Amino acid sequence: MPPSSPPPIDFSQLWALSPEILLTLWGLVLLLVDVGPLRGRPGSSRRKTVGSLALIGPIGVFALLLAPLVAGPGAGGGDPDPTLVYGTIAGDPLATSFNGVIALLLAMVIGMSMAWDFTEHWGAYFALLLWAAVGMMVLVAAEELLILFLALELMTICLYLAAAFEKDKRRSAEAGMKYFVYGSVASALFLFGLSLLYGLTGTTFLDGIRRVLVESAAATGEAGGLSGDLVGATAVLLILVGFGFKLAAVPFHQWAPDTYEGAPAPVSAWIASGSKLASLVALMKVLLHALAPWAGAVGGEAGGGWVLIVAAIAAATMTYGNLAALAQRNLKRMLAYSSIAHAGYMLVGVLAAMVTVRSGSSAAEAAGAVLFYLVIYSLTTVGAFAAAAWLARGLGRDDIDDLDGLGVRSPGLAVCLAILMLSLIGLPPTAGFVSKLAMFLEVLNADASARSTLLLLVALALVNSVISAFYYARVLRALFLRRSDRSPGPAPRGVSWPIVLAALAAVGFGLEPAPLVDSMRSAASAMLTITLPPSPPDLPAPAPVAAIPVSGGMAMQK
Amino acid sequence: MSDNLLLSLLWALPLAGSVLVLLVPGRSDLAVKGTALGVSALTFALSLVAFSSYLSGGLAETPLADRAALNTLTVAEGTGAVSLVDEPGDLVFRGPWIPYFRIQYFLGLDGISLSLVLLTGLISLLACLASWGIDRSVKGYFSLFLLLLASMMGVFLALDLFLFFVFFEFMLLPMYFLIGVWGGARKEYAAIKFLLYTLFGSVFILVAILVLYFYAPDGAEPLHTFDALRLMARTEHFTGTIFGFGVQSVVFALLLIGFLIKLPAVPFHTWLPDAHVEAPTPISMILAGILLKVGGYGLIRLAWPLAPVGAFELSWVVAVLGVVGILYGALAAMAQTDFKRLVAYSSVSHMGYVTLGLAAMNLIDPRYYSYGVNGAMYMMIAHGITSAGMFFLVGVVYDRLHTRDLGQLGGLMNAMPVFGGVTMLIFFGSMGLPGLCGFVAEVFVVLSAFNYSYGLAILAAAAVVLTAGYILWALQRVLLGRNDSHRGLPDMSMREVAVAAPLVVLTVWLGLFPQSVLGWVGPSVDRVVAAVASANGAMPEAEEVALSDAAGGSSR
Repeated sequence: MPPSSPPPIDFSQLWALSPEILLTLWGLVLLLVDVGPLRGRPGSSRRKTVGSLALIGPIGVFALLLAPLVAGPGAGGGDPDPTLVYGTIAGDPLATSFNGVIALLLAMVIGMSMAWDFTEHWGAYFALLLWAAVGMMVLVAAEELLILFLALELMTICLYLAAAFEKDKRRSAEAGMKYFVYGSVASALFLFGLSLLYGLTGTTFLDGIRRVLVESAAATGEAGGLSGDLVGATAVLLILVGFGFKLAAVPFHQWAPDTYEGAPAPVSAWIASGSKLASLVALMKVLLHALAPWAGAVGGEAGGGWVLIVAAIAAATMTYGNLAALAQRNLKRMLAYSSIAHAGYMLVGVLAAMVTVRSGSSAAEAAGAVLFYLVIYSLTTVGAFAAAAWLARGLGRDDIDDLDGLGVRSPGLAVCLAILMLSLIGLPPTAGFVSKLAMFLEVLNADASARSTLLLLVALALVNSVISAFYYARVLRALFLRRSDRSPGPAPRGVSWPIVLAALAAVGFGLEPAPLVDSMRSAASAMLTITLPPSPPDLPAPAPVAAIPVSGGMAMQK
Repeated sequence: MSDNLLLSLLWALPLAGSVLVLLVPGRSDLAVKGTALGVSALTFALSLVAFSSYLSGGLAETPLADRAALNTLTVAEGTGAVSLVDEPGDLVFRGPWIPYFRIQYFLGLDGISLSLVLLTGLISLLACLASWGIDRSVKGYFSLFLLLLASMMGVFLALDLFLFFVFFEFMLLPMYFLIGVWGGARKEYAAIKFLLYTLFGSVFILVAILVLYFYAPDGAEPLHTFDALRLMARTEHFTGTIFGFGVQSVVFALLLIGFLIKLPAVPFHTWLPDAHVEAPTPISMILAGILLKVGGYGLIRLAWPLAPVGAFELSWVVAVLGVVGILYGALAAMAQTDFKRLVAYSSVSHMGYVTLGLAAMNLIDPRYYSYGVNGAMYMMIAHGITSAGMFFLVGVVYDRLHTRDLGQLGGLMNAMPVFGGVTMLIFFGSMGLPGLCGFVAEVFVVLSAFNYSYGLAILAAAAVVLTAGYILWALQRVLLGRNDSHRGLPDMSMREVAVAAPLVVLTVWLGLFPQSVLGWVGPSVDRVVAAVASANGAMPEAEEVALSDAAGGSSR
């Protein structure tokens, strides 16, 4: 293949990447401000100053996202090919809307961080939060395996560091260490899986991989699936290890409880919401788009594929997460197991999205329901972690019992927290209920042949929701049924507004889900329909020569 | 008043009231209580308006399904434009809610639901009046109280399964907090037990709803609707099997478990005594008077009509469960030393009659089956009145003596003659003394059961002796005898008399003039029975056909 000379980068495309660029630069500014003008100031004053400055980052992102709307059409829209930078990054509605969601979550996390002094290094801390957000934004937009891996690493490395930032607590160091050790092993395995995938298909573009797999399946006349394909199966398994770690899916979840409990509450919130959100979107892109030909059947008449693996992981994850959460006394640790359980529910949705992708009729609806669930889950979880930040500030600890009596002392916030818990249980009329039900409806709507398996999974998920009511109700009990002498004091503003905002979202989208559902659905359809031009001259397309040894190699495995 | 406004206000007014109560300025408890009482009274007045338009419109004569068919809703496929036709004055409204899943905002009333809406309005008003003694977090209490009222109204109004489920689930929360915050010594245990039991039951209901929504027999499309009436009209769609069981049996079993937990019937009843004993008096009134009826309403309105064939297959099991409930509840009530626990177990026993009346599916002669369902319906209304009264009276004693231990009571007749008289009457009404309301219901149910199975009927009839046993024994231990330590206790206050009086009047009225209720509830019940019977292949004109063609009818 002759080394093509790529055309110079079209700088107008950078407009679509402006949120990432803004946050990157702003992180540097924060660092400089902290060591420059604020040098020698006491920690708490730097916390307030740098934190307020950091908030400009997400606000700037909102401004950039809203700018095209204000400027009217013509500023950036109307491009038939939504990919940027040689097709490696998408600039589609999915990326845009999730940039907004990530910026919102980032703002809530920054707000929480300003609640109390858990570190001295405020410049570095806030810069890391911002850069992790950059990683998440790129991860959501990635259309190519290398970019995807780099974004994943950028995000996770920032979070490793941030988790260990509460230096006077040994548990925080333990949290960072555990997260790092598990994470690096998972990343290595993930990278190995990606390299196998590249070896099998000769391309790193998600759409290119899909095309090669479809062609090779057509060439061999197989219906798809992975049966007999040892290398492919290994690649899929390794990739699932990597994503399973990020999502804290069983059996790759062991780091999560310790990390969530040990890390400062804002960092735990950031790991539980932003990191999980971006990773799940990336997982959906890889599985639903690139590896869709390897999905296999759910019903069982055709060959196996990754669908069955994901089904097993989903069932184990939600059951284990809920059962383990029952025994927890610490609020953050309980939320860790709850986030594991929610990962399980979402994987059921991914499964259904896969089944509908194949049957083709309503692919975007199912994937959109998962995205909807994801957004609601992230918002409510961040709100719940804000309560942990409140406790840590006032009492220096964050057990569920420490919430005792807050219903009397600050009834407004307690009601908001109760709404968040109800949303996490999935009780009407909160958004948690609507999103869960919408997702399960899509699951059952999927494919007639897969319906009985999916019905079992949904029934399991519903039973799990009931189990989850038991431990979420502990929070309700502490808030309203108990009295206590110790009080964390009135909530600082940085804690109260994320809680209120999350509760408003939980109620608002519960009663009127349509706007968010629709936008998530269009985001999902954008995600699933991204295709590179058939043979673009400027694109390092998969070499046709490579396909022959690949299909031969696959044939040899059979 | 348009249907939409009237029906929506029935649940939206208390909902708005629950916010309004929080906004009452200042720290005046009286203003809060007054506002809550006003909202409850208005809600009751609205239910009376609905009742009068039901009677004056002659709506008892037209089946609910026919009325609903006139109200149509179409959502354009692409644009999402909604066009709806609302037939005025027929107490049915159909509006859009979430068009993508064909979820409607579908409300409607017929005799079955209207009678319970009236009951809800009345008992809530009385319970609100009975809540005057609440002195902790008054705003929170009355706000949750009105929230509970709103969700209960919604349950009885909803004809869309999704909407029904939303209200059904929402009911749990106010109840959880009302028991958990304002309850007795073991309130936390009772509240979480109530929450988990009911939540677990609602999962069964939700799965049943999903099966109904998505089930497709071979070669057919799923119905993809939550419209309860449409699903009832299409029960023949649900043939075939899932996981090797008949689909109707599965649906029925799921709905049955879900609603039997709420009712509660015997293996699932253990949350009830705890919840009752720990709940404050007015909440016990609501719990016994209305919340248990939600279970029975779910059975009559949803479980039987949605899966008639499955219901018939399992009817024997359900009937046995009913009789076991009657006997077990009565025996357990006899063994209690706590006054409130005794009344709670009497509820279990009475709800057994509801189960038995519904399950005595005599398809050879659907007339008798219709007796049973009418009896069950009447039992729900009668029990709603008497049990609310009984819990209120227990509360009256507890307020004065701060004990419910039957061993320490006694002799109250001398100290509190008015209380004694009212207690006698309401407890006799619950016992089923002829001339009072409980009697009518029991007679109907036992009559129907005789034509279903002699064994079950004899057991159910024998349970009347047990009922008399525990009621009379309880009255003896509370009212009779001499107890000087109780001398000088104040008798019932004007407020308490005001709460008890309507219940006393209704206990007598319903016993003497059952037709005044059955006249407009009965036609709706009979239509349900006819639909269930014909879905099972029974002849609609039972009387002649059954005699000449008994063999053919019974071979089904």
